[in-house]
Amino acid sequence: MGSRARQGRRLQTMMKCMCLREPLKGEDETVPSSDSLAIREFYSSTASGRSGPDGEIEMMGSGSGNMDEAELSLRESGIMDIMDNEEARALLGKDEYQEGNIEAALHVYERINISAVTSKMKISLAKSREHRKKHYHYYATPPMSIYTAGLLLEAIFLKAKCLQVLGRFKEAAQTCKVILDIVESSLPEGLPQNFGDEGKLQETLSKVVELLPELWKLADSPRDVILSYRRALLHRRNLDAKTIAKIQKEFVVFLLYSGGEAILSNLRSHMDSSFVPRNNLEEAILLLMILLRKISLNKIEWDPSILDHLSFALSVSGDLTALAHQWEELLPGTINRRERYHALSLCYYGAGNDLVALNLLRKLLSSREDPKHVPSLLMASKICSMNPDLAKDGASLACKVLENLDGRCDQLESLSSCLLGVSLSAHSKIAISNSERVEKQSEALHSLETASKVTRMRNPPVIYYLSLECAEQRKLDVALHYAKCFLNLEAGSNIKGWLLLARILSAQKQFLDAESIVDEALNQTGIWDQGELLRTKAKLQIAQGQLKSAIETYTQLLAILLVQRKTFGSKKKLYKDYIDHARNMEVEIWHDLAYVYISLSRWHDAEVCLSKSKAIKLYSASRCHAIGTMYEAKGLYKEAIKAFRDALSIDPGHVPSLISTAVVLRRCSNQSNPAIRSFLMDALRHDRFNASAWYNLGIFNKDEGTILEAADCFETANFLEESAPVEPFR
Amino acid sequence: MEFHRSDSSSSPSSSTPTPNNADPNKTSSSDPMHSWWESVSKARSRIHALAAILPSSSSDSLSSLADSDRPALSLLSSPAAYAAVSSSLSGSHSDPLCHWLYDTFLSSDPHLRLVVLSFVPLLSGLYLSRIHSPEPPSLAGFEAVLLALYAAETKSRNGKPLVVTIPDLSHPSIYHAPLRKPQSQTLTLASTPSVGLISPPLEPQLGVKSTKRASIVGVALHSFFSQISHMPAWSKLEFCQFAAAWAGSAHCPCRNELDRDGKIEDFATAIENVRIRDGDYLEEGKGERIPLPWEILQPSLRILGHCLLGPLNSQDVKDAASFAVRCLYARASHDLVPQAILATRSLIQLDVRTREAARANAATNSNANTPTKAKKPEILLVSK
Repeated sequence: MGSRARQGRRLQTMMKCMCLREPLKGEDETVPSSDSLAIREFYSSTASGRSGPDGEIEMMGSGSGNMDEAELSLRESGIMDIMDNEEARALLGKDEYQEGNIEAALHVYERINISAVTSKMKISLAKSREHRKKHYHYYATPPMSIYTAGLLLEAIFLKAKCLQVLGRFKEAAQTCKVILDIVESSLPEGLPQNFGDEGKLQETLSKVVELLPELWKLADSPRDVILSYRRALLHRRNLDAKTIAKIQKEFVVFLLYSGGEAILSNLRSHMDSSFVPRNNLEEAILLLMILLRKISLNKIEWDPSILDHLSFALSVSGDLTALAHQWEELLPGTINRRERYHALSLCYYGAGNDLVALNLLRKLLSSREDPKHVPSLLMASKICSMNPDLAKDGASLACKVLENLDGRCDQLESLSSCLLGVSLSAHSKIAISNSERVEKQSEALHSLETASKVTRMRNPPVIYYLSLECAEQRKLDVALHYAKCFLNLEAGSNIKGWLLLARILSAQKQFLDAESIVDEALNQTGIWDQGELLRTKAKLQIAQGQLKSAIETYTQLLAILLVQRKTFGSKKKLYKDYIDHARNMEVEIWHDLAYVYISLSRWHDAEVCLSKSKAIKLYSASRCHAIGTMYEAKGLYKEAIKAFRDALSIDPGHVPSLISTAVVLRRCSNQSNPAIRSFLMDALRHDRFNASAWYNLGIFNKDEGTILEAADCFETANFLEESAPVEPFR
Repeated sequence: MEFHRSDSSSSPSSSTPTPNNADPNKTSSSDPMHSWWESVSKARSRIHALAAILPSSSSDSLSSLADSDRPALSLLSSPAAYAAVSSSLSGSHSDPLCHWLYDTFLSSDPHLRLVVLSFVPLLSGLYLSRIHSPEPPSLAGFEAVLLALYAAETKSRNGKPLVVTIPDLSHPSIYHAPLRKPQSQTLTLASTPSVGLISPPLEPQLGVKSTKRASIVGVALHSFFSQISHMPAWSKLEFCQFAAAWAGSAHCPCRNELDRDGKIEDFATAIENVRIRDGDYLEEGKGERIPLPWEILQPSLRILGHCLLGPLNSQDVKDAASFAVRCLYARASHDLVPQAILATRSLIQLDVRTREAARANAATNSNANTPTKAKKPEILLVSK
């Protein structure tokens, strides 16, 4: 092998002279290798298809003339007799390529008869593995040496590079594909690791594998891009871990961001117990998770873009719990702890795990971390504001946000004022004293008004909460105005807006207007989302004494819910929240219908409704209350009290049952019963705006002889009764 | 060396994959020549119909498009035709251009459908901006086109949701084998994979109900994304501009929060950030802040991801996407939408890293462009 190497070197020296450049001084001086600076720059500027203008590459238009002369000289010198024409052309082409004479190099490469040498290369490569395995030192000489095969494969690769530079991307890609076809058919198990001359071969192969998908991208052939990436990853090539990771990352970027859907067919052949991705996102997510695993195992270096790509993929896929798991599995020290807490809290909040998110936020906001981190303060405040037990914390956090805003963002100021208002409103509902409640309500309204002014009445959520708060404080005209504003801002697209408007109108006893709003909303809503609207419509009909129409509305609603259950029931895991909501609504609708039949003294029909409810949900305070109401209507007071107490066993705060228990106790008792007051006060603690509770408390006080207190109660009851919506505003 | 395709050649290659919603029965033909001619005739017919609608100043350029051997793709690649249509759209029930788009989409020709899809950013942008104005005008024309896109997608999905199964690395996949094999069959069966929902099943819609508007527009955007590798640059650019406007955060400091975080900007970065910060990419008249439910936000994020990081995009498109994604980040922060915060934050960080790498490469290239004579000493040194 040594003598051949020397011959090659001499040939290069001679070719160098014949290129009409300054002659090299000594015959034995080394010719610049492919690692020279110029070549490295060329590779780096073109191999990855990087965007942006590259350095201009010199073109030698008249190169072909020189080429022919060079070849003629070689032939005359008799050197051609020593080695094959193809090998000579490979060497000559490479020299031209390294000199930047792209067209000249391509001209030489095109004279290599690839199809003729392909079979020889295949035999040679295949035998090299056999030779290594069997250690037959006396094996017959293969038709081509490994060195020559490597040289020719490199020549084909460099031809592809020339075509790339000239903008002939498709041809370049097809040229690369020839190399892969040759190697794969010869060496199905890949090249042996670090084996002599094959090291050069492995290097060429790695470059080809990386280059091919880039060429197909430039050729605008997404199908071939995907197939070539898969080929690179699924065929055994004994590529090193770093190269594989690089290919995987580039494939992920293509899958996530190129658009279009992957071709499935060539993945189907791997169907066994292995997971097979069925679309671009699944394939990208799989590869990203594998890359993160490799990082954890220290097989490759940390690359923050991997986590960014995975965050993007899982965010748009709608599975934030899976993303949270990925963040949690990162080794300590990989990511800044604060960033980790923040990302995890976003994941869990988005996944509906509010309390977990809140705990993480509290860690982030602790004194030794970052107590003034505004995004976290806002998120924590919002979570607390939606939970009555945490409303006080919500208000405190919102105040802290307002303290830490630098005044440059109106939207955040509006948001934090809104959250403060919502929190204060929730807190006022559990206030101990009446004066405290009034104070909180006043502050809540003020905060919400501030929030709406800051964004000039253009922020829909703020307007919604403002309207809601006004309604709950029984400022109905103002609430109506804001509800209309909200509906307009959202262009009627939010069902909450329609519902709130209808319920405010019902509170004003404008039942016809309310019903027309509901009807318009039903026109603007898909059938699966009509549940709340139809229920509100039925309540409106009941309020107008149209019980028969109400029964028809409930029947229609139950039919929808039944079809809905059958439609989505088969995909339980996917629509769990949706199904749960529909199921709970169905139970309540059966109860509503039962109450209608009870008021009509149609006992059998009422019982049918209640048994339907029981079939869906075994334990229900609401159903126990309905049963008790039926007994009460029949005059069976002892059975009624038992049923109400069953309801309170299931839900101690069930307001209708608390009130009904008090009412029946009063009817059963000849003497004063302190328990009556206790039940009513308990009901008012849960729902201060319950007219029936106030009315019955008035009756109780009247019986006790405390006339002034009774008068106050009756006045409150009357006020609330006159402004009560047919369904709760919220 | 510029490896991006120029805008004039952004049309799909001759082996264009059939759009997802094409009717397979109509695209298959026993006579390929006949099928090709039928496609060409249909395209020419649509182009002539378009020329009859547009001002006469467009007639000559449209005629040349019709005369090409691939007229639909020529139309798709024509910025002049796009501009002419854009400036004439009103969206009302009597708008002839909306009728043309509607009829062209219903022709079921894959290439003609790409032409209609290229107008999705404009249609959805104008529609959503106008529907949320104080006195919305008649937009029945826009709605007809959007409903046609929705119906095609509904048909192709056949009542199924779009889901993503999240792999569990403790089980093998085509790309890896787990470190430890699953303990037993029972455990294997017990662990059901978690599933992400990209889009719920679509209900057929006969009209645009207000509560379904977001879903209908979202499906149009999804269809646009499905074919985005075939879309012209100006269409993508238009989308980026509308997305930034929808967010309504163009002038909010929250937009650059991540760019500021913990970094000292060098001069070049500062200059670039000033351009981005000053809203160079926010044209006048590109709509205003609108509600952004997830049905619209999700496909928008995927489109912006493509414009930012996808292959072969022009620098203009990348810069516009860079601006838009920061606007959406600010909007997500204002609305406290966690999945949108996570997605936009990721895109911004990827964008920052990509730009830094590009800047570093540019600096290296600057050295590479040293005159030839400087290379000789390098070579001689190596020789010695």
